[in-house]
Amino acid sequence: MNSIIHKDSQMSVAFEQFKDKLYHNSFAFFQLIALQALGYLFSFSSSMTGIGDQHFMLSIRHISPIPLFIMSVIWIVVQAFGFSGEKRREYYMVSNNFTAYFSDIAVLEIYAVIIGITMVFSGPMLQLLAGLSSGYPNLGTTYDSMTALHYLSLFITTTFYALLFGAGAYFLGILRSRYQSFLVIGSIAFILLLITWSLLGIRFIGPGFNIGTAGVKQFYVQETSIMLWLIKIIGSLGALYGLSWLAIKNLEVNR
Amino acid sequence: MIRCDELTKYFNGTRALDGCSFEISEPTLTGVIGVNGAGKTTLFKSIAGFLKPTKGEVYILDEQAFQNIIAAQNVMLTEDGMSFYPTASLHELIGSYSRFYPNFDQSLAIKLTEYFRLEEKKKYNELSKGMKSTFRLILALSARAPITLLDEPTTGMDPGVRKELFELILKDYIKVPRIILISSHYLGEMEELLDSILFIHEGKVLKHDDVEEFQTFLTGVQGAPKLIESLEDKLQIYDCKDFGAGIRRIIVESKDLESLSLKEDVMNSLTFKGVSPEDAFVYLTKRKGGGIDELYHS
Repeated sequence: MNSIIHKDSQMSVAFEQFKDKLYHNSFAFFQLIALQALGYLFSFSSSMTGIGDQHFMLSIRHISPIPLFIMSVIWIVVQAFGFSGEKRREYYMVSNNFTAYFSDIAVLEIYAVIIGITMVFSGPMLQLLAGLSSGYPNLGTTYDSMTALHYLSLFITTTFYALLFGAGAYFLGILRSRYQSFLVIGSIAFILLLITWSLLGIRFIGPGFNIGTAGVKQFYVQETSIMLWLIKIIGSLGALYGLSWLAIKNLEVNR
Repeated sequence: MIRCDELTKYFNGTRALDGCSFEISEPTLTGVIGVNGAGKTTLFKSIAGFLKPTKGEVYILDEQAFQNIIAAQNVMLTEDGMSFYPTASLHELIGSYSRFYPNFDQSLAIKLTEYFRLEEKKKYNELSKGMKSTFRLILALSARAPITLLDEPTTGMDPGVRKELFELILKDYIKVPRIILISSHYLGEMEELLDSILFIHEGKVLKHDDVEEFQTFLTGVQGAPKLIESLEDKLQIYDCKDFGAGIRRIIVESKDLESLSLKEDVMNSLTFKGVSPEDAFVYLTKRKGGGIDELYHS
């Protein structure tokens, strides 16, 4: 009996890869837990006072989920870099650039959703920890007034922001895989382009022209309309995914 | 099923393949022979759809191979540089491969893993070089892909295991006939299991023929130096050696020799010896002008 020829669709292969990547990267979830545990420590803004090593007092001023989110973002950035940099192994096990790309993006979406879920639960968790550790049960009262809608918006924003960071890291990782040493030249060219743009902006718009990180942060964070915010985020994600696809499209497997 | 049309591949200006053309449409066990750097691995990677041809094309099942999912599903490539999930055990890797290759015979993979004493709980990176090669070969054969490409499958193995694995390849091929391409430096050891040989040199396909053709391709002609010298002008010489004062031997193409239609008395004063495919490979790839001897005598 001869070997049978198979012609499965790209989507079915991509779905199989997605499951396989989730399975083989299950250890990453433990890394997330460890990083978030570290994040919880930094989430308590506290000060310690005392004389010598006998008398001291720990006072927690306030609690903030920001360090927790930063740790989660570090995690998704590392994972995205890993997916984009370690591409060879999946090609030996039935793959093409489309299925590899599609399954990577799908796994990163799941990771972002997990970050969103853990961030939703971080509020009550922080309150609980604050109450247990220092006897300040009323710390973080802002969480008490949060409605289901607030939690939903917290979930959506943290998920999308995590996705944005993940997509950015994935794009850079793919560029590194594809162009290797050219990435350094590309980065220098990009910086030169930014400088030229700034000089032209100041020359024609005036000294108020600003394209620094503060401007980027303002663009993504300060928005009053949820629809506009969503358009900005989804548009940026689409651009990053599109650029990643263009970079991976003709990538050869040769290292 | 495999068709290469003028396949050419450059890497940063360096030519790895230079207009390779050949076709394999029936199940065969083909040995891909060539010196280091001849272009064997580049050819395999091009067939597997990993590399984009600079010129020409590779077709798998009549479709362009590069990044083609149908080609990927029906081609199994194993090579030394193959990488696996670092945290996965051999058992998990077998499981993963069985999900991707629909023809994968998981029970065979497990039986072979046990037979070659590979611990299923171990991770791939924990194996020795020879064990890694064995495991890769187990995956490749168990996948039962219509096109199986084995690039140096016996790297790092001791001769005993090597012999067993060549036997295993043959048995598996008989059970499930398919296109199997094997590149190896041990042509002598695998010669008896091959149907055909694809001979690559400096990125070109020099010869693609049955093993029998390779076995009779070159002939050693031995005799008195004067008589041999008279033949040298009329034939393409692949090698020439003097054995003492009265005997000289040349290696020539058998068909060239036949075309000379030598007289019976000349034939009787010469001795003819067959050249094995392994020796033929050495003669065909020999550098022009000198060799190691010249290095030491110059």
